[in-house]
Amino acid sequence: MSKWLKPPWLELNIMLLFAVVTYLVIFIVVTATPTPEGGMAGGVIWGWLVGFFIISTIIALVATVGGIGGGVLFTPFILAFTPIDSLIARGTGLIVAMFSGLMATGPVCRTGLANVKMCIFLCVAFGVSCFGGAMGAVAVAEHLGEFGEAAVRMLLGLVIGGLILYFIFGGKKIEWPDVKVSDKITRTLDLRQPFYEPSLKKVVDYGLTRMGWLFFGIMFVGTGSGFFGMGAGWAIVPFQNVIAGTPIKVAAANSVVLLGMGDCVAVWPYFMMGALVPILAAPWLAGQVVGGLLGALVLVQIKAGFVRWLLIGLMGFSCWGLITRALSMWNVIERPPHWMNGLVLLILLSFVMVNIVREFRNND
Amino acid sequence: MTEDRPLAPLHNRVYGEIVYWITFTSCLICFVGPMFSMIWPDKNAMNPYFTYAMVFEGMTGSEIWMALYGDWPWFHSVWWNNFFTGDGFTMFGITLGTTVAVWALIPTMFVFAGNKQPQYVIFSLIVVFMVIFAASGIVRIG
Repeated sequence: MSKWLKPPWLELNIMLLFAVVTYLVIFIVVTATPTPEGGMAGGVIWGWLVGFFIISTIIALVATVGGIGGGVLFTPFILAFTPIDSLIARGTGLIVAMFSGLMATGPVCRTGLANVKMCIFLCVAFGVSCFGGAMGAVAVAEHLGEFGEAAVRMLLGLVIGGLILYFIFGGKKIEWPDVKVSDKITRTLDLRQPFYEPSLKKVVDYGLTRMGWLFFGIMFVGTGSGFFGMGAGWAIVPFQNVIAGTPIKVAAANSVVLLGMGDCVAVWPYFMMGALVPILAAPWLAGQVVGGLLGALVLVQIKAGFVRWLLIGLMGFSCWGLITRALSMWNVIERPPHWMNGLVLLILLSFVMVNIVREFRNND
Repeated sequence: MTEDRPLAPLHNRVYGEIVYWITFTSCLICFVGPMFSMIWPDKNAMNPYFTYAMVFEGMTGSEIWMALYGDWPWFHSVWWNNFFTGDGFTMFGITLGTTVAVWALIPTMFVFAGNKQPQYVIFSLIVVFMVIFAASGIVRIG
């Protein structure tokens, strides 16, 4: 039997078949049906449905390989280019952040790349702190005002900036940290889990350390995530790697599992406030699932160096956004226009591509 | 080299497979639901032509629901009462996907219990209860 008719390609093909058939049927229906007075033209709705699905698929592919939720790419896009209400954008953004992770959960768990025990342990910290952070956002807004919110953004931006430097100069020890002795929590909870690494063609039995500190680190990240209503993958991956010595590919795989699990908690307050518009969220969700599966298949096969450089680029964009936002809230600078944000993203992606090509040439 | 590959632990496979297939189902519903919505626009909780118009006018979610559905009741009553409509069915699909951790962690807990790892049964229970509390609407933010 052809590999295209076997899992996971079979599922991917079924989803793509559903996409083609359903969007084709919708196109036929909207061209044959008159638009009700006061409603949006059917052709325009069709264009949005298909456009959202395609953009969502691309976002999910990039986000899954980097181990982040797509929210960090989705929210600026929606807020920059559409007049959609920010609460609807944030609620849909959480769907974007979680569904690529949920679909990627299958392949990365099946291969043993993701460590489910570690994810469940860390999800306890992430879920509780996410809720605490969201409640804290209300309190801070009331007591500290814009100055306090800007200070927190600046602090986060500087932390991410420091991690970027560590990722650039850390080299191979970031990709495969050498943890000689596992800590007590790792041993007590039996967290070690060897897996087969296709890019090295060998079994990797990695050690873990400072799990207690990682637990508190994830609480910090969860608080920030709930506080700002944004994804947390950009911080979960480096925290696992830097604090606990988790190999970068395992950290990325754990991050997508953890985001999928943790956002099952975080998404509901938005839904309960009426921020879910099903026909708007549906193409975003579907695109995340298709792109998430493709991304997971890529993640299992690629070299750790690719993940490291991609993360540097994505974290750089987050760092830029956090610091410029904080400075503009303090009235030090004007808020950067969208073209400048786009230019920064383009420069960072070029930097990432150049380094990936250079690394692969060196390896060859 | 293939024989060297360690099999992923059972709890990994159980959790991963359940999440994977429920998410896959959720995705298919999100393709089919909007199609039904557009074929029968008047048989929906909210007419999709007006929904999209209002979304792109910058109206908030609750304003849109109030204008088109007439009310914003408890979330789950909306998809339950409109299950056989395009957007009600889509809402069900999204609900299924956003509660997937519960459906996957319950059988995973049995695997942990079978492996005599009670600490992970407790961690899993905490996560399951957090999702249930959040999805019930008991705990609200703002």
